[in-house]
Formats: sequence, C-alpha cells, structure tokens
Amino acid sequence: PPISLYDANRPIVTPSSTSSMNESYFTHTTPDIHKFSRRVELSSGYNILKNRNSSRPTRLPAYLQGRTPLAQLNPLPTSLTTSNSDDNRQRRLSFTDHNRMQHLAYSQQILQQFNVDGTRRPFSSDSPLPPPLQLPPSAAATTLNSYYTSSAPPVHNRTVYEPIEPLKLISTQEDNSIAALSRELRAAAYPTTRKSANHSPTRETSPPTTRYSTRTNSKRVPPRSLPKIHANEQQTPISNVKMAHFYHHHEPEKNLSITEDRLQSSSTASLLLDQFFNTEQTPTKETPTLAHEMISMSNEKSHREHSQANPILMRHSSLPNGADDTTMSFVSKYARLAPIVSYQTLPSNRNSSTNPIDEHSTNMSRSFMLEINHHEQMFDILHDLSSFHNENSITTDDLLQTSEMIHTDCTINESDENYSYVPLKEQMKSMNEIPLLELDELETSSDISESQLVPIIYAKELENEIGLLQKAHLLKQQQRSNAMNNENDRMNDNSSIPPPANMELLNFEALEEEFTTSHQPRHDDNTPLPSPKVPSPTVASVMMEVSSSPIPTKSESPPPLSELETPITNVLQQSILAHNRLSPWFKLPTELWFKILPYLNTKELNSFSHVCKRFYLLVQDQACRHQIMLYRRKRLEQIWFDAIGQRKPIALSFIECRQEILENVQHNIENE
Amino acid sequence: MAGHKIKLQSSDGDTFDVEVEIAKQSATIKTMLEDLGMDEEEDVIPLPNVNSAILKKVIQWATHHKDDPPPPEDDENREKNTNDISSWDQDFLKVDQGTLFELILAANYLDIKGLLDVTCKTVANMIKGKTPEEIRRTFNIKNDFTPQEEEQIKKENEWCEEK
Repeated sequence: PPISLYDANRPIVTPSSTSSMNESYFTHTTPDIHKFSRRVELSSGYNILKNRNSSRPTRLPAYLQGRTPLAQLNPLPTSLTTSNSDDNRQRRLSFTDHNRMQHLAYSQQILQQFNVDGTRRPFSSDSPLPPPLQLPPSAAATTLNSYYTSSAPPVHNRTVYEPIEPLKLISTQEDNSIAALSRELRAAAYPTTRKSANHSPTRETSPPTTRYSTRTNSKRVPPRSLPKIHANEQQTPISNVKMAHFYHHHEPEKNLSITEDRLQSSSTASLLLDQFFNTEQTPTKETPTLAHEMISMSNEKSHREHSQANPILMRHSSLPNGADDTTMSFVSKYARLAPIVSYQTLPSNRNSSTNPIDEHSTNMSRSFMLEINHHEQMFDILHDLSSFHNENSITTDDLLQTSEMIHTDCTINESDENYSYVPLKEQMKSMNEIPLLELDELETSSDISESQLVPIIYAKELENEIGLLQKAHLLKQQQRSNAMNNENDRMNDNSSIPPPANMELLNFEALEEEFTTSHQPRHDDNTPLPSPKVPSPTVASVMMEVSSSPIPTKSESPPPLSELETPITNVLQQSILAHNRLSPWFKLPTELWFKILPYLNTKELNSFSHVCKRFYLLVQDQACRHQIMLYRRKRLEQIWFDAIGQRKPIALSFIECRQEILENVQHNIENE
Repeated sequence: MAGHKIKLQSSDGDTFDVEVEIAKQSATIKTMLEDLGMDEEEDVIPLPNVNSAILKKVIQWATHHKDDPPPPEDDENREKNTNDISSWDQDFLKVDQGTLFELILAANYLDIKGLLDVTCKTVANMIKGKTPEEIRRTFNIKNDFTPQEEEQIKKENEWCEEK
C-alpha cells in the first residue's frame, strides 16, 4: 500500500497497538491512492488534512449513530479521559480525516470499554460512547483540576436539539463547569464555521470533533438567541481567558498606534491638530504651570540649538505670572491664529521673511520646529502684549501675509531673534504642495495610467483655475467697461436675441476666461512642465500682454498706436465672438458636442481644435475619449506630453519611439 | 395595444396624433406616460422645446424606425463608426444645417437614442476630412485665435501631424 510521508510520521493511537489494527487502517486507506498522493503533492500537512474534507462527506460511523450515549447515565471516572498531549494534537489535526476519525472513534470505543487497570467496564461492546472531551489549551490552563468526563452528546443525528441534562462533570467549581458546559452545548448546537452552512445541528455531516476546534479557537461569540443555562456565564474561565486575551491583544495595539501617531506627527494635519489641541488644552488659569512648561521647553530647545535663548526666556518667564485670565485667554486665541516660527538656526536668514518651512527639507526637522515654536509662541505673544506692539494687527488683518515681527521695543530680543508669523493657511499650503510636486512625474512618464493621472491633473487644474479665474474675472470686467465705451450697436442687437434653450451651457464669457486660463501656463517657456503653479500676481499683466499683442489678426488694419491696442483688440475679439454666437454649431451644447466628437479620430480632432477657442477647449476634454498613438517619433517634446496629459486619454501608445528619448525625457523630469 | 394614440403638442401649439408605440421610442415621452399615467386618448403631451416642423420630422423618423430593435447601450470601448448610416437616414438628414441642429436638440430632449446617434454621426461626417478653415466655413465660425495662440496650439499638437 502507498505510504506517504505523512502516514509514516504520524503516530497511530491505539489502546493496544496490535498489528491487526494497523492493517485494518491501511486497508482502509488503499482505495484513496490518487487523492492521497495528490494531496501530498499539494502542500504541507495542514492543508493536506484540510483538503481532505472536501473529498467525501464526513459521517459518524454507523455504530455511533442513533443512540443515546450511556455516558449520560453512567459517568466515567476522570482518569479515563486524561489523555496526553499527543492525543490532543492527533485528534485536533485529524478532525476532517474520515478514515482517521473513524479509526479514532473506534479506538476511543475500545479505550472506554476498559478501565485503567485493564478490567473491562460494565457496558456492552457496542455502547456508543462519544470520545472524551478535550479541554481547549486556554481553558486547561485555568481549570487544571476540572476535567470533563464526557463531551456533549452527539447531536448530529437529532432533528430537534434539546440539551441533555445529566452530563456529568467532576470538578471543584460547579458554576464554572456548568457555564462551560452551556458554552459547549452552544458550540455543539451551532455550526463550527460560518463558511460551511451545511453544518447545521440537524445534519449528520458535522463531525464530532469540530466542536473541539471551535472551542479551542473560540473567537465566535455564542449566539444570543440561545437560552442561558447559568447566570454566571460571563464569569466562566473561558470567557475570562477570552477577556484577558482581548486586553492582551488590544493594549499593545493601542500603545503601538499611539507610538505611530507620535512618529507620524510630521504630517500636516496631525501637526496642526496638535497645535490646536495643545493650545486649547492650555489652561488659562494655570499661568505658573504654563510658564514652567515654557521654561522647561525653552531649556530643552536651548540645549539643542543655542545657548542664548535660555537667559532670555528665563527673564521673560516672569511675564506670564503677572498676566490675568483675560489676557491669557486672548493670548491663547491669538496663538491659534498665528503661530510663530523662528529661525535662529540660520543666521543668514535672520531678516528674511520667507517661510522657514520651505528651508527645511525633512519632515522631522519641520515637526521639531513646530513643536518648539508652539511652546514659544505663547511666550512671545505674551511679550508682545505686554509691550503693546503695534504690528500685532498685521497678523489679525491678513492671515495670508507673512509678516515679520521685529521687536523694536524689546531690547533683548532685538539683537538675537527674529520671528516671522507664518499663518496656518500657509503652513498647510506649503505642505500640501509637496505631494503634488512628487506626483508630477507621473504625469509625463511613459507609463502613464489614467487612474493616476486624473486626480492629479484635476487637482492642479482646480488650483490653477481658482486663482486665475478670479483675476481673469477682474480683468474681464475691466475690459468690458472699456469696451462698452466703444461698443457698436451690434452687441445691442445680439443682446436682444432670446437665449437658446440650453443657455446655461453656453457661458461664453466664462469660456473665454477658461481659454485664457488654460493657456496661461504655456506662456512660460522656461518651465515646460505644467507644475502646479501658485497663482502669481503677475497674471493680469501677462494676460494683458497676450491680448494686446501688436500683431493683429489677419483681416485687420495696420497696428494702431500702443495706447489704443488693447481696446481695439478687445473690440475685434468681441465682434468675432458675436459673429460666432450667431452660428448654431457654436451654440450647440457641450454635452452634445461630446456625443459628436468621439466619432472623430485624433487628426480630425486636431483640425477641429484649430477652428476656434471653444472648439479647442472641447477637444481638450477627456469626454472626447482620446486614443493617442505616437508613431515613429524620433523626438519627443515635453509640450506634447503636457497637451496629451491635459486631454486625459483613454489610451496612449508609443510605437517605434526610441527608448532613449523616453528615458531622456524621464531623466529631465527627475532633474527638474 | 396597437393603434392606441396619444397627442403630442409642439411648442407652437400644433397637435400630432401619434401611436403610443411610436411615441415611446422617446424615453422622455415613455417616462411621462408611465409615471404620470397619461393613458387616455384625451391627454395631450406638451413638448415645449420642439417646434412643429421638427416634431413632424421626428415623428416621421420614429414611424420609419418603429420596428427597429432597441439600440444597444453605449459601449465606450466600442469603436465609433460613422459609415453605418442607412440610406433612408442619409436621405432623411439631407436638410439644412438649422434643421439638423434642431433635430439634434430635439432628439436630445426627447431622448431618442437612435435619432441622436444618426444626427451626431452626420455632424461628425461634416467635420471629417476637412481642414480647420473648411470647418470654419462649414459652420460659419470665425477664427478667434491670436497668432501667438495659434502658434502655441500648433506646437503642442505637433505630435499628431504628419511627418
């Protein structure tokens, strides 16, 4: 007979290891040659046993079915059921093994027919004794003296579950044992695993040993619908063990999460929240404590950074003692508005008003700065309040401006430290820019995927558009006021035309602004990458340069005088726009254009985008479902990738494009 | 219930008797009939966004296509082809641009997918194979780009130009 590695190693548990037992066992396994060898090939031992469950339904042997166990009437002595650890492992491992289970059940039957001293026990040979109940390891540790003499009766052949009372327990603690018994009954009544729904208590297919595995693992909460047998069930040793296990598991996790929070405190949100909460938690009435905290913190800081701040802060520590509650509450509110960031570590930047966060590349240094400065800001604001410095109003009026606090009244701080108020908005902004810059590489790399690209570009577009549209709107209003003076009657005629049905989709002024906005980054030839640019105050002037270009459109008169360029060009553009508005296709709603344009290929879309600004903007949308293919391009321009990325294509193919060019592009992006 | 008719009223007040099965090619009308329970013959369905000329064309198209199978759902991965317009539809859509424009709007409003598809394909065919200047002439649109902007667009779309 084929003997696998598993069969050779596993111990065979028999009461009297006779050769006939072994032979019968192996005779049983011989029909399973194929399955057996296949399972051995599959994987290691546990899976072998596990897979065996699916081969055939596990049933109790016939002699174990349909009878009431005699153990209810004749309890066995405890010495019979104290089995060794090998037996435990054996039974637990083999609970899905039909052959082994059958064999073990038989051996258990043999075992229970005899006493320890070898005398035969007084029931018949076919008495359907269930196998002795094995304590779970966790429960066995706590209840050393209480052993189960019998497990729950085999309920598998019953159609209606009813708990059988005279299950006997020889134990010292009656309450706990009965409660544990009730738990066992519940475990027997309800299926062991939730996956196997066919393991219902009314079926015969659930093996008797599955209860042990359930109870050993016992992560499952007993169902509430079952009647409680004992009121002290919550205090069973098993449940105690479970509770202890729970706390043992969860307390380190809690600590770990706290530690992780501390470690991750360099992130923007946690830093700012820490600032807020620490400021809010600062008690306004405990001024001496606060002063003490600040002193200790300043000591620590001075120990790290420099030795000059120590006497300064010590000297000023007397200030909070004199401050009353209203001052402190005002100070705490004030400190939330404008945290102070000092840069004493860089003497060269003393007088500069740039954001010190940008000067520190790592997050750790940033968090360190902010932690220190959180403690310093209270002190400094106190100092400012005491001296009634006028520049305080700057930070309250405009939080977006970085104002530098120069303590002219204070002779101590004047020579040593400069403080710059960095508002929270700017701190968040400067930190939020970092992932955008990192993700920027994705946009132009060759392995672009749309899922990565869309949120990045969308965020960037939003960032650009919000700032630029505001300024463009102001400019537009200015242009409109200028144009209204020279406006001819044509515009008035157009305004009398009733708007089309979908006029809300045809906001032409917004369209023009959008076009100007979308073109805005490209005017900067020095930075081909469409990196997220902060809207600069020079946008309006740039737009003015573009719109007031000295080169007129094709059908226009010679260039007028420079002071008249802008109004005339505006009037021309307005007239062109007014003419285009007369065309129905110009007024076709965008959603309908997006039903037409997917029928065009890339080249046709390119021609279409050259028609006018509105059509250009339509083509730039991803709703056109661009499928872009670069074919045999020996030179790849960055501006192409910018334009392609803006369209958010559903497919982008490079065919016979030279690889080194792509690598060069990628390399250039990384360098920038 | 073949032969059962409903009345469709155009924006200029004309009323058209249309069979329910024909009218139900419009998802808008179908929803009205089902949700509002407008089963009675006396009920008139107002269509304020469609004038009588366009509504007549729409009814003509829907009558011709009343036995067509329901159009397939939009598969975005499916390649869009504009060459599969039937000859009847091609003749039907040999109209001036204003009518075609109004037909697109009406098909969109009435949510008649087949009519919308065929009109969009017709417009796409009006664009295909034309230079920007030809498209401008077709649609009566003036170039509103500045030369700098045109140069910029040309530069950024250089990748799809012929080599």
